[in-house]
Amino acid sequence: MIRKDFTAVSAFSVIAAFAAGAALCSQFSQTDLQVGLQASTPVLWAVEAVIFGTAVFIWCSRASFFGWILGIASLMIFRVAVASAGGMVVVFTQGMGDPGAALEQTAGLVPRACAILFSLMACYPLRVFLPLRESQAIRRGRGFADSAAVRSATAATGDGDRGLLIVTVKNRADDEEQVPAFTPQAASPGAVPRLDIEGEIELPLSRVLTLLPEEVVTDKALALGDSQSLIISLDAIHPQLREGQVLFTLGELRGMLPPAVRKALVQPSDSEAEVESTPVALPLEVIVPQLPPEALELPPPSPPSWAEVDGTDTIVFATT
Amino acid sequence: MASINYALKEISCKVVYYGPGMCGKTTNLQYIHQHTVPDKRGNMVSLATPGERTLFFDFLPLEASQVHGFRTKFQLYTVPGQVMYNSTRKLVLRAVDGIIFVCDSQWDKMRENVESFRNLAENLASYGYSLETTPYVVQYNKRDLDNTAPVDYLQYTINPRQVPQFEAVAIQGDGVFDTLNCICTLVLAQMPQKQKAGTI
Repeated sequence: MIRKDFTAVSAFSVIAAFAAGAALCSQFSQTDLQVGLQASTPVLWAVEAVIFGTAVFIWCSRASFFGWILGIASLMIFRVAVASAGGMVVVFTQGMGDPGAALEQTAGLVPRACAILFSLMACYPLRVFLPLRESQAIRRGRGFADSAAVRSATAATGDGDRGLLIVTVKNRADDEEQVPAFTPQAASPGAVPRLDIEGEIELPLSRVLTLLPEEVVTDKALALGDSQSLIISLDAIHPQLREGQVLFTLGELRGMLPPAVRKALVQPSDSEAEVESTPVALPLEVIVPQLPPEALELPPPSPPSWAEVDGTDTIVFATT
Repeated sequence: MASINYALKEISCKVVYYGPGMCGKTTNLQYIHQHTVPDKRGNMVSLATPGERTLFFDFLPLEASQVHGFRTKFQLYTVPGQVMYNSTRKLVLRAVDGIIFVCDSQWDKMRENVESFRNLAENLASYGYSLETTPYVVQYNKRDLDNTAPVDYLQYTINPRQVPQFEAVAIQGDGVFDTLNCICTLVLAQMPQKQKAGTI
């Protein structure tokens, strides 16, 4: 697999480093440069492994264990290749008949160090191919995608072959202690321009009483309410129609009730003050049918400019 | 945001179904998914709660007929309608090209419809968009139920400007494709202007 972060420049640098390493290795193998330090071959290999392991760790700390081992092995192979190439250069340039002797010379300390250095330079661009550790997040995500919940959800819907995937997730909102409640807001009467429409809306009182707070409604009031209606001026209702609700507080509704029913309710002095300010939503399904046509009259159409479409290019979806 | 790939001759647009909770947004998408030819749509992804309420969004990619030699692709999204998921709704609205506002026609949902519509305007404003510049249509869903408000009252509350509106029964598929076709037409019709403005 060609990776986009391994470019032609990277490939060239690998080749260039390899060639330079081989040339220098061959050069150093022919000099009389003596290094006092002598070490056995296994020790040298071990030192090489440590150097290469450290290099791989620095280059790619996220490499997996397999990637780390692969990196060290690759570097060692490269080091041997550079040294061997250096030995071959000696054979060809010096006309030495014994390649083995030439290779022994490149195994000296100085040529070896040169080979190590240039193998590091050559392999540095190749670090992008090292396999990486899976991050915790990716592991969790993949586990979720492969989880039994997903498989069972797909099977349960019976739409697995349609590609419909419904994943049920525990609703974290259920665990929250405080969830912002969606409460209807009382409309401000002045928000909508009031039309000069006369009229009244008549609401069955029995229906209205069922909407009042329970602690205020008495049996006597309910009995009286069966045969009476609540009359509300259209002026008071119309500004709220566009809000999708018609709200009055309990205190406001008290003033609109027939006197007998008003007296039958629990009196304000006896009920808590906050109960009086409780908003009561009147039934729209009773109000709206009684509205005169002009109450719901719309202004002249004023769609935005994007709505002006000639319709010649109609979109068609391929339906079954 | 809409994108045009001249090399592949493809136009890609994003359409969002918006509305209060349980109004039928996901139902719209499910119906579209079940009734479009499989090779013209992708998999529908739904992230929902055990009660089948949308938690994050629903997503469905669709391909439509060619327009002026360009393949048209639409990415359909729905938002979670519950009030508490406003931040998610805002995220889904990012880079939107067209909106279908789904209303629940029931009487006791009227206030939620109004609140949701205002919420839509607020969330668009947070990105510098507005309903003046973003095409939208209104779908009055659940017209088959008994306790529904008349369309003229729904128009009065939600659509006084009288942008295109459709009555629908999404669970049966009535009005679903009509609504979708209309918004897609409006979105594509706006492409030349957006190109001139340099927004695509």
